[in-house]
Amino acid sequence: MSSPQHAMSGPEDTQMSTTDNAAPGGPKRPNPNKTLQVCRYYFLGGFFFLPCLWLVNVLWFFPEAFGHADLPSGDPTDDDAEKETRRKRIRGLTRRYVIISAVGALVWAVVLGVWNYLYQTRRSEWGEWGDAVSAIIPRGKP
Amino acid sequence: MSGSGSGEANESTSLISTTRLPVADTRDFRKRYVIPHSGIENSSSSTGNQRANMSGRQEEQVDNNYVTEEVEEELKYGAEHVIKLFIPVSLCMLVVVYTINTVSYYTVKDMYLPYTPFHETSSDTDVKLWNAIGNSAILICIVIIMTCVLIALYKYRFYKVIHGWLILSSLLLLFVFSAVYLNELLIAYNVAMDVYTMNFIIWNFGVVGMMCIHWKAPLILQQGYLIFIAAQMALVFIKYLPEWTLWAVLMVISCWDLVAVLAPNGPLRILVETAQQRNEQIFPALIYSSTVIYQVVSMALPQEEENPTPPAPTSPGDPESGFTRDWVNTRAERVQSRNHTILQEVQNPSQSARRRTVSNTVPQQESEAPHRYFGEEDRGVKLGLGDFIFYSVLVGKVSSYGDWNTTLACFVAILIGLCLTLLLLAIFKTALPALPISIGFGLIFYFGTDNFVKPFVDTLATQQIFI
Repeated sequence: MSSPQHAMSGPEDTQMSTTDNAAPGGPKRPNPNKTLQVCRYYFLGGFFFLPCLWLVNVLWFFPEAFGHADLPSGDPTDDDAEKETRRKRIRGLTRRYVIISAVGALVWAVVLGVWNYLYQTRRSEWGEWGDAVSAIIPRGKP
Repeated sequence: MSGSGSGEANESTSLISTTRLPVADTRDFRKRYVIPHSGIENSSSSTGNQRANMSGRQEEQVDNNYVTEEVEEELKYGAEHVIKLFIPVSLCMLVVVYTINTVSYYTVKDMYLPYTPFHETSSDTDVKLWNAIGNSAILICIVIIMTCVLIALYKYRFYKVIHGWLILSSLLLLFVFSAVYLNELLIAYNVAMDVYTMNFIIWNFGVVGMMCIHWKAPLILQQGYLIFIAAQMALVFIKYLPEWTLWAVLMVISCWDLVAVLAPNGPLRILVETAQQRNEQIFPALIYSSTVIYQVVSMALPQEEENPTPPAPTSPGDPESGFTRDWVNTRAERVQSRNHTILQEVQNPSQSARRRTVSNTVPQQESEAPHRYFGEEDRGVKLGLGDFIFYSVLVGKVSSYGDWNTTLACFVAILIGLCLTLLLLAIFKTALPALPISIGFGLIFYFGTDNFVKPFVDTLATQQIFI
């Protein structure tokens, strides 16, 4: 825990962060590669029964994926074709992640909604199993 | 103010008239002379000698105007941030007051912390007083020790240890306490809930919270989670601290805050200064920030390639018996991890540029102008989560007595205190303790309203006297 290399990794991280921050585009528009990575992690994380991550992913990256389409980045060095294609690729991937996330979150919402509807309306009919599945059994209600 | 301003204006106009610049007052002067300076510079190359003769005095003049305007700007800017901090602080208090008034779990005294060995069960005032003093002394010692440990860890760059500590404590708050909270809330509203949905909600809520606080997430979500955490912590204090002890702790902790931030070797001062020296942000789990810059910087801290979802318990099990042990073990960490300082962002490069401009020559001043405005957008006011917690503790505790007048009085008192602190912040431009003024006002207003105003108003009401 207190080994020197661990102690060293802190400053390294912060070094990275400061250089990131100093990048042109400012805090509002970070490195697109990095944005894509964050989007990807949120997307992957959603598979662990975490549709809320997908929801956040959709809400957060929707402008990135669909807003002001094909807007030039404003960086004059960005004009060459290679960078252009790279930007398009990143945008496409972001778009894919966002769409899948949205679909996943929607599926979860439907599943949960149906299950909760069934549970809330039929809990007393289910009898013993209904009680076993309940975390909180309200008092005074059937 | 206005008199001196016009005096200045006259002086500068007289100055200007010697150079035959057609301007009438200082504002105009600034507008025509300072900002679009390049044109004048070019045209005045022929009258270079003349300019060189009087430039010294003139610059002084311009600088004076510049300084006053800057102060005005800063105050305006400060006012904006007062509002930006009022909203989260009010939200946090609102959550706590709402919970105290709906969920009876948090007002029932059935358990105490091991840190508060005296339970104030006696009806004797002296004994209660001594109990409270003893309890608060023990608590404050723990807080001091934990703060010093944190500072030492930070000073010697044990970042991993601190991060582990913070992650552990936020894990506890986000999963276990949230589960208890949800449970009690549902019981209070008598709503049925199945196990699966419950686990699902807690799991999602906790993981998203962990990602918000320790990794990257939209700022508003992060702020929401920080407010929630602070509210949870405040509820825990209200539930587990004996009554008199709580008031004593509030008093003592605001004194400690004062010392820790303002004393030359105060631990929080050291923390802030070290962070500024290293040009990095204080840990995101400790501080509420009103702007995005802090999040962007702190976002890049964990660079691991692994999947960010932290392994966390889905089901906390029986919260009543299960959580107290862990919770008790790390409670002091929580106390201490919510160390409280307001700090203004001073590492912003444009700020130092601004300072420089005050003593610089006019053309440079002009060139700095765009940076200045850019910089101001980035700057934000930060408030330690500890401040949120203790403000909410005070208001929540007051509201648990069920008197809305007193609650409102304390709420307003705390906000006014916060206002004054921010005003002082605008003046002194260093990290300031946010607790003493607010909590002091809150305490004065609580005891004042409770002991004097309320009986007075009641008497007036019963005697049918209208004033």
